[in-house]
Amino acid sequence: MIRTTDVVKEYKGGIRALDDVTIEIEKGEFVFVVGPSGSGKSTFLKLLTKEEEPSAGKVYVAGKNLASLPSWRVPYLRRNVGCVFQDFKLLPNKTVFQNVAFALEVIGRPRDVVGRQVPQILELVGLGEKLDRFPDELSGGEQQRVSIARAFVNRPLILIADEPTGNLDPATSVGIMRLLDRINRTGTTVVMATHDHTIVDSMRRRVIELESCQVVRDQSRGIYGVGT
Amino acid sequence: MRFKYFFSETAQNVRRNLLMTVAAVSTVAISLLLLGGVQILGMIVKNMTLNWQAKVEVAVYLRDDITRGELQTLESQVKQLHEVDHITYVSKKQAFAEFKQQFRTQPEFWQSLPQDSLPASLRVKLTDAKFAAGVAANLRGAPGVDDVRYGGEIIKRLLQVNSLLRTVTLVMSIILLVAAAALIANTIRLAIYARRDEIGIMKLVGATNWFIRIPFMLEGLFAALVGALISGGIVLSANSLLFTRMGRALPFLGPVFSFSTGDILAVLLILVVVGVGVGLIGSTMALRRFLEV
Repeated sequence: MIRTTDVVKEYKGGIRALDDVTIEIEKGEFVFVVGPSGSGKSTFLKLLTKEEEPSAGKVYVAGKNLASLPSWRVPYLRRNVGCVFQDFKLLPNKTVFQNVAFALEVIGRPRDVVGRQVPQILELVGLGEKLDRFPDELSGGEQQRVSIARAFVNRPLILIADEPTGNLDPATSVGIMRLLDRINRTGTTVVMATHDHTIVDSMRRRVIELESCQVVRDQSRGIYGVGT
Repeated sequence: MRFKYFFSETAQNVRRNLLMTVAAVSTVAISLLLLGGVQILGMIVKNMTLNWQAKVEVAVYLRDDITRGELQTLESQVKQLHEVDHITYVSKKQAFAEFKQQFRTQPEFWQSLPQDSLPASLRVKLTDAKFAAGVAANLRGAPGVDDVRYGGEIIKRLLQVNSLLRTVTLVMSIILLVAAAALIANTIRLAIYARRDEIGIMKLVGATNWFIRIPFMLEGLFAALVGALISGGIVLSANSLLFTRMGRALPFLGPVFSFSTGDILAVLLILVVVGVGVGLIGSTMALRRFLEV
């Protein structure tokens, strides 16, 4: 589903973010990418949506070499890769329903599909009663659920989550992790960057650890870190 | 669904920065109005030239004391020239009657004049207007001839003034059109800036670039089209209100202010096409560097 080979990423000014990263992730896996700030986690995730391009090496997503993907095809790649962020990125002037519907409308889904799928997905994330609320009327955890609903409403093959619990308290985080786990059980590949020890240790899933831009550990059913 | 989306987005953009849109629309309208002015000026001059060229004749003014014999010799001499089509003798009385007819709306021009104040003349109609100067030189100074006049000089002047006016107006309208395109581009940039969060999410969830661009392009086209329609409306009303009245008020100029419907439609078409072009250029300027993935 995802494969990177010998990927190097250097930003302008010679700042190195990834060094020789080779990772393979199978369909349906749940993978934690862990490591301290600046270790290259976010850069790795951005490669998967072609938000960034590697300086060297190759990135394959859903069987496609992203380097040879023309820029007009990139939107179609992104329809297969849902994204969730630490800061939710919801539109404050749209309701919960409209925020999720927006993701379907802008890729040209017909109105009846939008009207059917949006309430369904909001029911799934536990917000079936709050369709008409605005984001600032919701708690942080609820906002993140809206954001997950938006990322998942189009049933992408891959869900990428960059520190989805970074702004949430531990109890709320557990709820979000349950939701991501449920999504993973539908067959969706989930790649999640985090530095939340408790979550990683309790989930016991595959852990890829980055340190100083390199993969230092790749362990199935791993924990956050041995030494930390 | 999709069209509804595009139009509601466009309408929102227009409403959100109304002032910039108004500025862009009026610049488009003013610059297109100048362009339309150039076209109409061209049409007026064309009419004038046609009018004059049809009327170009060498007027040979006769001395009041010309003898019958001198007149006959002159007439046969003129008829022999191969550049001459035909000649007409205009007596003093006929000349005055024509003058009265030409200035019938301004009787003060002729009321106080005696009936024989205008000279008799031979009107020499040529096979081509370009022979006027040669024929005139030939006849000047012949016995019984007081003066020889022809319309050539006026036509030449007219064409010079026209080309100067056209160049100046054209340059001004081009400068204004560039300004209009820049204003449209700026309007769109503001609209993009106001919606940068939405655009970010649209890209994130895989909206195609064209899908994101279209509402902004429509906004640019809308501003340009409204500007074009305003200038077209002004041209139309100028035609029906101003020019027809001017034609009636200044009949001695001939039919210089009457344009065919086809000509007017052609001017309107030019305005709309150029306006839409300006809108597209402005939109493209604003969107060129935008949305690169």
